[in-house]
Amino acid sequence: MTSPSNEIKFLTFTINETVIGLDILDVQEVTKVSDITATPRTPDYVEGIINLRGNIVTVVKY
Amino acid sequence: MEYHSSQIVSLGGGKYAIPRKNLKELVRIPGADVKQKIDNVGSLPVVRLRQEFLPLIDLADVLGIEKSYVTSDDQVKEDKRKQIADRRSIQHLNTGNNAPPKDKEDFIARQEQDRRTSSSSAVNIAIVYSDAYEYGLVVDKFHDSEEIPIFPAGRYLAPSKIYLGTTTLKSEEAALVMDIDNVAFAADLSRISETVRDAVSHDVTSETQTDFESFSLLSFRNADTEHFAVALESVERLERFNSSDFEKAGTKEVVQYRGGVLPVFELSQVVRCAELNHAAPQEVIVFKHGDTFAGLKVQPPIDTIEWRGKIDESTFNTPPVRGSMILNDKTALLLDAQALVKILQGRDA
Repeated sequence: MTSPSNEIKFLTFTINETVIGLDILDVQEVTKVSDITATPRTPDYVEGIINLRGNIVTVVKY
Repeated sequence: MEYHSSQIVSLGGGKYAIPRKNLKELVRIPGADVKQKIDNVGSLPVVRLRQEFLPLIDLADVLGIEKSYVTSDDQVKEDKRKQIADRRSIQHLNTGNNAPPKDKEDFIARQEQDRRTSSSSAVNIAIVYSDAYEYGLVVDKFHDSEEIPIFPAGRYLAPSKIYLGTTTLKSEEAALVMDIDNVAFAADLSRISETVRDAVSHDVTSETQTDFESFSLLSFRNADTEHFAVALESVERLERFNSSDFEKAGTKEVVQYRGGVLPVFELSQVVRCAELNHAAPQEVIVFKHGDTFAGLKVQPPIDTIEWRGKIDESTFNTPPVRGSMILNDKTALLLDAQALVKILQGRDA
């Protein structure tokens, strides 16, 4: 069975009971992190940074 | 990837890197000396170091985070002392205030305060230099120095200007790299420096202990009872390896280190002293001589200390031993790191 070409897959999750979908093609990976390094003097919505296999990734929150 | 030598410090549970090129020395002011060494000039904290006053910047203030301190069991606690100079010593509390405690409750409260003070009142200061200023950066704790990659600060971190970038540590934690020039700028150090200069220019003469010099030293042991020290400035960094990391290559002992090979040796190969206890944990002090590195295996604890006194250069003075001194009631031999590495290299040639 082949999917129609106009079908889009979404990654869905909830924030404060609101369901949100992201185009799966915009998602690189879903990962679990334990240690987020806080980043003082950054906007409130920036939670911090993490080391993802040697690369620094910024973590934002809503 | 290019690596940059950096000193890792911690504050409020986070770790921060200070580029080595900005670092002059690490100073730990023991609780008992805080009152004497740290003062307020006007409302500005300064530290007295070798007849000189340096402005102090509290990294917690720059970052806008709660002041904290690290207890001996490595727990981070909030620091309720508002100013660095308020971290009074027990001595001061006992002798400086002769009035007897008003009641038992007050007495207990004071004891509580003393207990906290005694375990944690030392102030750790990284002496750094920016383009224009030399100043002390107050942090909770010093960690190792590390070779780290520096990633650009990026759109969220760059606006604050106090970060040079981000990095990943050996421990795999993400950490922030401080921009020492801009930290001075953010803390308005130009104003502080002027005030300090004006205020202390007539004060320095009041303390003249010119007979004694002050040294920043790294103290360590070879065997349990053999104490040594080297000038802190001669030390490139400290490293810890597992005993299985050490390899024999020809006649040398080496350890693989950041893609290269670091020759390591122990003191008994150069100085008449006991062999290192190989069963005990070992740390490696890395010296740089010209373009080459050499690692000296020693027995912990390794400590940085600010030592004031006169080095005895007559009792022991055969290179690489420069002289002897009393450190924590023990006789310690002061080593000349350059002479030490030269002797080793001469032997190889």
